[in-house]
Amino acid sequence: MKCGAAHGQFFSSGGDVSSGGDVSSGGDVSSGGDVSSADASSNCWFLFTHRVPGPARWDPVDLHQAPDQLLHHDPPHTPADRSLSRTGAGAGPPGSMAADAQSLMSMSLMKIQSCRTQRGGITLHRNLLLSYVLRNAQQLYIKERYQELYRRQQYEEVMTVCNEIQDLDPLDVDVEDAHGEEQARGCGEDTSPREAARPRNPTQSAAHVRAASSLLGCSSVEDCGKEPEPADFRSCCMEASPGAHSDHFPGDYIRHCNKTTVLDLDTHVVTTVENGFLHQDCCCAPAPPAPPAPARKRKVESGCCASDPEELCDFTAARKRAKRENCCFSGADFTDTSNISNLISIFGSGFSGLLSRQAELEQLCGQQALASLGAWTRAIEAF
Amino acid sequence: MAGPGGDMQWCFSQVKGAIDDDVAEADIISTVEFNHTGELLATGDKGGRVVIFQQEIENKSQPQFRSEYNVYSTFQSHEPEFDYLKSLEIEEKINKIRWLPQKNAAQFLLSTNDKTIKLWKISERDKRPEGYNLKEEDGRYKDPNTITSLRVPVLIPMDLMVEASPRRVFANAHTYHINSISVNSDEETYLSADDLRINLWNLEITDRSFNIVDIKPANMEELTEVITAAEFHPHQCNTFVYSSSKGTIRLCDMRASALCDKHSKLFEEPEDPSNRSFFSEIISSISDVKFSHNGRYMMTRDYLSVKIWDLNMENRPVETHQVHEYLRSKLCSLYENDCIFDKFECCWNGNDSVVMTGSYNNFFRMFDRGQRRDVTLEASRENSKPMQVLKPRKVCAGGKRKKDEISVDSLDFNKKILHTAWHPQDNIIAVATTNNLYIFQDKVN
Repeated sequence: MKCGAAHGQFFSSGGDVSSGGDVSSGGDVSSGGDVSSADASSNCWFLFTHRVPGPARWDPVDLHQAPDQLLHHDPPHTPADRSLSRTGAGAGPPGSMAADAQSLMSMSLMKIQSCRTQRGGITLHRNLLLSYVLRNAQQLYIKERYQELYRRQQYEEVMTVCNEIQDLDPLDVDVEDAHGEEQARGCGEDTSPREAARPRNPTQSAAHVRAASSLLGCSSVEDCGKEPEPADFRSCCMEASPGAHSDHFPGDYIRHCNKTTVLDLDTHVVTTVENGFLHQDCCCAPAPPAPPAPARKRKVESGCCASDPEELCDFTAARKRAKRENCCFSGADFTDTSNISNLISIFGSGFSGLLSRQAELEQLCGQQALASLGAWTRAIEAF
Repeated sequence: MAGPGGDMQWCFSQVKGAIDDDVAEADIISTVEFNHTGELLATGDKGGRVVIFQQEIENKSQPQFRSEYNVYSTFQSHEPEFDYLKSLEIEEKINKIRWLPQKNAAQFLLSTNDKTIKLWKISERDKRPEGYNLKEEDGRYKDPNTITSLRVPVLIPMDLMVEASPRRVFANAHTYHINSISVNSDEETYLSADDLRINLWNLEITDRSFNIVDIKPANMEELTEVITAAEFHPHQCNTFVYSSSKGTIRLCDMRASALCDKHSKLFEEPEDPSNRSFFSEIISSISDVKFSHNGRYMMTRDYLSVKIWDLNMENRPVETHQVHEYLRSKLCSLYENDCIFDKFECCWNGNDSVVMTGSYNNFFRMFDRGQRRDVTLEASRENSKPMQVLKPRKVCAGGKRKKDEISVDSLDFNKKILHTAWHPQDNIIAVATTNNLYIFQDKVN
């Protein structure tokens, strides 16, 4: 309880994605969105009923550059409220909604992280509610990105056709390829969910991984650098149905992923899971999911210390199945690498658990949709 | 202006607590509860202390005053503890206090923090024995050789002393944080509820309890809801309800089975899809559930509203009262400053005609069920003159702000009233702001 807190004080963080608002063009709004002073109704975003027409605001070129930009400068310490206290009712253009969802996600993750340091330990109820917000924001974000991608794809198809008509050169394959390349490089998305992703820019993914390693101090991440970046997000799908994708993505790297340690508070049984991919309902797995990695259980004798991160795992491993890069790097004050690696393992289990089972999103839960989150999650990670 | 309950006008009576604006964390009031006669009013705070106020004998010379509440007893109920196995600190904050019905001269109450429930006996001592044969008055033992006669000690009056002593400690039964306790109408048992389980205790037995509800999933990854509040039915000793973070209330009958995981009734109102937002799950989480005194209804409080349910109708509440609907568009900001997680309580008046709950800016709301009227009042030092009538307040949601109205943006979200209590028989209410306890009573005409 913030007794002495300023009136309507906001949760200021160093790692707010929206503070790198240059990336998410159009996502910035008026500042100073104090509850007490804003006239605006900071509207909530309606998840499934809202459709915003208009051109896509995301420029794939920007996204491509974003990670490098963000890695190279310090996150400005702007209050996290910028994108939330919007003026006017209703949501803005689709890019801004996605940006709002992003900042909401990062805020949720920071709140989850701050719960760990609270007196009295972690409250299950609060973390459950935070995870719901996180899930809702992620669902919206995926949906928005997919829609935007679809719109851009349609637009580009139209443009391509127009160009063809203009140039009277239907065999202008280079143009199409260039578009496709840029797309894949930028956001790693393909138009058809079934199509394998194009090879990523190796420099980009390597840079990402190096940055990840240096930030996290986590050795297990380095092996993932062998693989294209989107594969991280697809890892749950990979694990679930290795047969379908083995052509493109050898599954070796999965073994290098973190362990998840879960302490059952009642039985004091500690479960260590090698891959973290226990969850079975990966919605994009066409085949029945592979059996979970072997788990080692050991009974905790008295005197074994179950630290805070493990208690968090007990519950949050269930709820917060965000991607690995999703894990609270928006917080600026990470000094304890063991905490970091534990948090990685919490979120390393893949994305499937948090996605809803609605048919609409099951379609979206293609590899490409997941991969498209790479850009902004790298942004979070940079902080 | 007439308020709810006919011509009820609420007047300031007393305020307890420091005047300082600088609030010590330990002084934050965390629970307020009248006893069954209303003579005693107990408060618990974040520092683990319990303060009990007693209503004095009515002041005959000033009939318009009802009696005042003065401090009766103060004691440290819970201390901070450390769980070494899990490396967790256990807060001493008193989550709930529940009085037991009085059976003899002493008073008993249950107080709980996150992990441990304690039964306290509060007894008065107004006589002391004098004239021991073997001891001096100061307690030193006499030399037996000097004793030449025998006498019977007599009890002589002394200044009233109120003693609080812990009679039972019910510990180590909850893995998660205890959010509710409720004494059964059989006056022998009580329940305690944490996030995932509800245990049934006998007041006499501390080393074991029965687990009667367990919603912990086999795989914690499938957890979707937690228990937020639980209460026994006021008359039926076999019936209790528990509310969940998903906005459902389950009524269970202990006669049906030993483990009441299967509910007898499920009270749930379908969500309005047009109100769906990022925060739908948070604002639908029920923070408090209270049976009416007559046992026919129950009231639930979620973030924005109070709902009254008829126990015979499960599919929707019979009444829904909006507490601060103007906050619906502010949920994002409230999420940012954590106010969206505030757990408001609610209470019935003695004859179940009016319900009350708290809000922000030190406002509290009363809803008159019979007259379908509601009023917003404020607990503040500015309105603290003796018997000063409280003026109804109004919040302006948007548009032109009228005189005396407060705009939503001027509300102070650090001043919240989470805990309120209503005297079981009279129109006296206790309203807890952050660290002050306000007592209001209606004006006796």
